[in-house]
Amino acid sequence: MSPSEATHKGSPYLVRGTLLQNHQVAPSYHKMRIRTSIPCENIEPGQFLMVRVSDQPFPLLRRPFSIHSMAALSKDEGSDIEILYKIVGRGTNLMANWKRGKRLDILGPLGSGFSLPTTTGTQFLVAGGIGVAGLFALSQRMKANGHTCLVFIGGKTREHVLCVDEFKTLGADVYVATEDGGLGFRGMITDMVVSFLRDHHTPSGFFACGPLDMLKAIAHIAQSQSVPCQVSLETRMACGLGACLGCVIRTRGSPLPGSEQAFGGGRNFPYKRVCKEGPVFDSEEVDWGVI
Amino acid sequence: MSSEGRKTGGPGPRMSVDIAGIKLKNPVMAASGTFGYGEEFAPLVDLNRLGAIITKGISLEPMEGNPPPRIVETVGGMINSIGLQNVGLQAFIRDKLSFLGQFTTPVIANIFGGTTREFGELAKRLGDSPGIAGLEVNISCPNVAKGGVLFGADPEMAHRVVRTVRRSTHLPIIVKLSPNVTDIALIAKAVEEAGGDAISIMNTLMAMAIDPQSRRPLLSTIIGGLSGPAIKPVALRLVWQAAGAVKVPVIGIGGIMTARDALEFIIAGARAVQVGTANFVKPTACLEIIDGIEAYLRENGFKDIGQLVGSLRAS
Repeated sequence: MSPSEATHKGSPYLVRGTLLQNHQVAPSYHKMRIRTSIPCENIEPGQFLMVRVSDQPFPLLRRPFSIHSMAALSKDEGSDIEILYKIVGRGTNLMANWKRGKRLDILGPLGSGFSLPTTTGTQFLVAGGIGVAGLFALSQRMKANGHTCLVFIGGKTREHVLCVDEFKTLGADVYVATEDGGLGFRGMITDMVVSFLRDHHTPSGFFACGPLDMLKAIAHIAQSQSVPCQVSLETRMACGLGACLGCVIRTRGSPLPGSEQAFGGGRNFPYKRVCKEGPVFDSEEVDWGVI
Repeated sequence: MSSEGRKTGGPGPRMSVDIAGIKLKNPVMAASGTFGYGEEFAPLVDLNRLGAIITKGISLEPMEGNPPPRIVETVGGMINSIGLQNVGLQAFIRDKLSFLGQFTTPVIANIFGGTTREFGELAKRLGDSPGIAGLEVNISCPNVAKGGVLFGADPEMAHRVVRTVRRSTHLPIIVKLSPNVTDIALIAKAVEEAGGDAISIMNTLMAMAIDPQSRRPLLSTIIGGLSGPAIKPVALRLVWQAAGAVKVPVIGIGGIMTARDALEFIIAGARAVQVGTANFVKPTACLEIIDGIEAYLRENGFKDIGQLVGSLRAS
């Protein structure tokens, strides 16, 4: 790595990407593949992109999307990045109509991603709905590093259960739950994890992304098993760069680095930026009571 | 990168401006609260090209800010209720100023106090710190329980704060005004009389948004401050009114997304502009606006940006 690359590691790029593919993968879910000049080795699983969805005053702000997968290009330094998204509002509705070849305004990779496990043993990846988006990149990296992972995917109905085959292709065992029982276990994915743990060994770690209630439940399970747990959170975001302080979540708090004195010794600084210190947090760090 | 000679045809128009003794390479500053402490944007923007950087509002003690949700997008803008979360004066001086000191761009510290005395203390201690070119006194934040917009809504209170700051420092003082007032000219004059060296107009417009399904407010504090292109016409009107009422320089802020927007403010009477929400949408917005203003001057035969300031053909 050259010195200039070294200084750029961890820094975001503002680039023009080219849309290679944008297709529906399930009712109200699309997947987009973008060719970018972002070096693949600079992307961590769990990081995200801010995509400009319009050059009009409305919708104004960029939209954040987890990086679903990344692949290095053989010829040059760039990468093909996939994002998996749910059509929920004005921005994603516009995106769903984008055609191959469109030039995209991309900012990323952003945020702090997942820390890869340092111990051997099975890792549990738990996803709810669109939460699978960020966990796939993680499972890719885990596979490359020789980790074994079990993947739990929950959705309201079978139409909301995504990526099962993709995870299987990676060689992961996949367990599915739907609230209506239309596919796999009937009930919440967290109930399935609990029942699975009755007959199986405790995992070495949990990695979860999905609705807040699901994350809260997984954090609780992990704590009761004394297993580390990383959760990927989502909040409304404006800049994605750590400047606006709009996307914070309440944590159990830690003194601001280097400013312990300013807080009179023990006072905690509770709000952390999802775009910078997150989106992935240690579940012990999150103040689940308030969030 | 020098702005001169980028195109053929000799030296470019003069872009530099002077705001109360602060020498700006060009009239485009990054607005407080939208550009962090500069370091957040440094990987994407050559900070040396900016007219000035106004840092995130700083208070004597660290402030944790408001509970989330703190932002919501609305048509043509966003409402925020950050609540002045900041690292506090001590950490600002120790950790943030040294980074900004690497650049040639003037650093203007935005200060916020809950009391007049706190404003004075901030001004005094920042005046003793190297690396600060000036102060922007925030008497217009709509998102804090005490101080903030209360100081900026009353000419007497505004006068008292600015006079206290004036007596506490020799640094140039810019006073950032609120649009949430009945008569901007009255406040602007009070600030000028109290010793303010320049006036920046405007802070956000108080606003709110509701989710009809849950019937809940979309911000934890219910009310926040609206920014973005939606507020530009209001800001432009206030700049025009204030520029006609005071002699000190006026700095235009409010929904500036493009060079055209910035030019409108300058023509209305602003000697410089600040770019805020646009930095979120386009991290390089300031640079594009600088280039766009320069191109306009060149194409329209202006030799100096100063020729354009307040050049509105009103009659």
